[in-house]
Amino acid sequence: MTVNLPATLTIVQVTQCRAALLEALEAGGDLELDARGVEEIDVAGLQLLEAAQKSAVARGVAFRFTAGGRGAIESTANSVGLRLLVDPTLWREVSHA
Amino acid sequence: MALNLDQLSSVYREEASERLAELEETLLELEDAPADLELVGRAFRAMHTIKGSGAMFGFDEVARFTHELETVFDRVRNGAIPVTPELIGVALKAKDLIRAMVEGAGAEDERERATVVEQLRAVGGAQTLAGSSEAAVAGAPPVAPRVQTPGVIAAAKSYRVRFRPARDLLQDGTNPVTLLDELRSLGRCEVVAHVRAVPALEELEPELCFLAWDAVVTTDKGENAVRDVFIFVEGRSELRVDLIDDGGVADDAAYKKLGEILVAREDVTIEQLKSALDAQKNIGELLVEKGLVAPEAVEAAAVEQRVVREARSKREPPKEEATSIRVAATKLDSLVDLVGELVIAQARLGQIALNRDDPELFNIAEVVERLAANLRDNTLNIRMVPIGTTFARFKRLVRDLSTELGKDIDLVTEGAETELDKTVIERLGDPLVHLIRNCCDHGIEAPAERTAGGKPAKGTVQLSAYYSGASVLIEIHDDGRGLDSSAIRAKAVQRGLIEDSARLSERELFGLVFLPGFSTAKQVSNLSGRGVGLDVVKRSISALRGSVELESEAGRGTTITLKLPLTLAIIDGLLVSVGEGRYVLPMSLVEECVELTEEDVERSNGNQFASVRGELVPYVRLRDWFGVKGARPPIEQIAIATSDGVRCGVVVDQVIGQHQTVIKTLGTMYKDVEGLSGATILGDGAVALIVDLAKLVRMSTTTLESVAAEAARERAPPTEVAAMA
Repeated sequence: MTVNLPATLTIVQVTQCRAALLEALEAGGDLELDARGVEEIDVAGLQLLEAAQKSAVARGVAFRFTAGGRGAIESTANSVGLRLLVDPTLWREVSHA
Repeated sequence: MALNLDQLSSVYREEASERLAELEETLLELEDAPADLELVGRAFRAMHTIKGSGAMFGFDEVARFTHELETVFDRVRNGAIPVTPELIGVALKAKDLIRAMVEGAGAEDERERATVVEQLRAVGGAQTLAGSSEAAVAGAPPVAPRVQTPGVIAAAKSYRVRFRPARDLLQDGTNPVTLLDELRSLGRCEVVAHVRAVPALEELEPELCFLAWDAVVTTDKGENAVRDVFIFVEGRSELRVDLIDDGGVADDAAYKKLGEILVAREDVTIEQLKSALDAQKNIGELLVEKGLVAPEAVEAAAVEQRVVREARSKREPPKEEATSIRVAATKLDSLVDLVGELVIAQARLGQIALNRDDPELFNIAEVVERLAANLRDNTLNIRMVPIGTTFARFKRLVRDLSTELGKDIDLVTEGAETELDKTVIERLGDPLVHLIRNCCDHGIEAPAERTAGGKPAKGTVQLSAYYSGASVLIEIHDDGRGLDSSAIRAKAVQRGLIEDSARLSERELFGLVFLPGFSTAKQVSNLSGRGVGLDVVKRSISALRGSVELESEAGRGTTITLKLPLTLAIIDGLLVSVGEGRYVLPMSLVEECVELTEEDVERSNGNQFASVRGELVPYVRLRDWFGVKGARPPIEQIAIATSDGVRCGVVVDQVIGQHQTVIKTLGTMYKDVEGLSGATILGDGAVALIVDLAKLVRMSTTTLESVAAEAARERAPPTEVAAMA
């Protein structure tokens, strides 16, 4: 199931976004995040994505991002040393999307 | 949960006010030890915190202004400019202005701030400041103005930075991105975030921070610069900065082999680490499983890692463990109240247990008694604060007074660690200010006069605190000119306080200066000498159930001693009975108890005097005073009390014994009843009134004034000018 991430994903939105992600996970199937609209993300936002990835792994479903829109996530993740989220394998699925 | 702006502001105000106090103290210490780099660092860090959190919480003007101050101190820290009295002076002025701003009262100080900024720039060398102030408020602590002193280029060193933020880091508005960016600006920097503590989505509390960071920074700016990055999160978060010498100690290198450092050195790829972390397994195990490392190597590394970690944790003082927690004073007060009630209830229980022949009940009552006593002591202890916090503000006071009066005065403090009840310390501030002002203004002579008198030009005011039994003594001593007894006498006569012909001892004369409206200062300065002060001091100290004593030697100086109870919540009393009623007399004022028989009464021909070892002591009957009905017992007891230098007896039916008791205030209904200062509840549930002995003595002796004065004169007692309230 695909979740569209909001344009701003900061501490203000994380609670709401977490609910959306949980819902998607509950619905079953792979978790795909569309980050193309994300313009701003902070550490709380990144942490949320980390947690989502962990849940996906725990449920044995794939976790990936829709093509494009890496910019905001990548630059913030890089600057806080969160390498897992910028791991190209997560974004590799991109090409066929 | 979102904190609203008001809450954040008040958090900031509280923190800033502490930092400002620390800053002031440090600046004053720095003035005495201008070469102490440790102090410079401390001052700098305080400024940096005030600025940084100011910008974070929207106190932009505070941040902007503090930045100017910080910039100057950065130059001091780098050795570019020395610590001078002018610098300290301007810095103190700036600190006051910051405080005004933080407290929200500084709007009208704008012009003054501009002046101080100019002065700061003048002291600090203007070139470093131009245009940098705007950058300061952008949220990120500025990196650009951190000017490295030319010529002092330190060798680049590598530091391992481990940053484990407090869980609520993000809620405070702290942005780790900013912190890490600043860290990066120092030099080559590798940052690795630890995600292991991040729970799965199901368990995640998304506003808390579960991430932690490790970084290796290579910089020539020194460890201070690295620490400064984390300066305003340090208090709540765990921060460790270790210097790692390149190719250094063997076990240190082994320490690096695991986890993130494997990645940093590209021994393991990100993918491998990712899968390891995803599986939430021990990294070492996984690496072995994948055949990348020999199991022995991992084990050895793990052992070494443990050893190094243990060694490090031992080396590090347990700073974070010894944390304190801020609690509203009202919560403490209600705790003290409750404990007081508990102690009273316990006393009743004890009484009942005694009267019933039930060993089980007796046992449990004993246990409860012990617990209640412990609880009471502990609770009262929570309210104890070292007096040093108050001392610190007097350093500044004396410094300012010296400048204003053109005198050179040193304040020496002693016993700053002495602890007193918080309420006592709070209410002690103003009286001490009065007394220290008096010392500086009237006591210490002008430098020329001092040199002429063969004294060092620099005057000294000594402020010391120490324990004495259940009291704390605070001494304010100056090495000035001492009190002028003839001037006091002349003034007292002029005011009609004493007869021209009255014979008074020097001590009694000194006691007069505590009377309202008494001042001998020939010149009224704006500091003291208006005749307000000493009487106010006496009243405030009396209200704290303390006393003031004054000693003075002409030409040698004056010593004022304040005697204060350790706590206001408990009183050590003498339980007495009159008729059916019971009363508590404050033990601190009672000197002795003697019998008063019918014969004694007859012998004095209706005068209320008792002969105590050949000395006549006036007395007052509590029975008469409170209008208690019924006949007197044939043998009464007199409790002899000394107050205001007057000995006076209080006659009661019977002395029951010593009684330590929790004071309960009388309701507002009774606040105007004279001669009582409170009440307490006894073991059997009865109420005993606490007698305000000082007031009682004062009121009863006015009718016997002349005789009392005569008695006092014969013995020349210590000038104990105030006492129980």
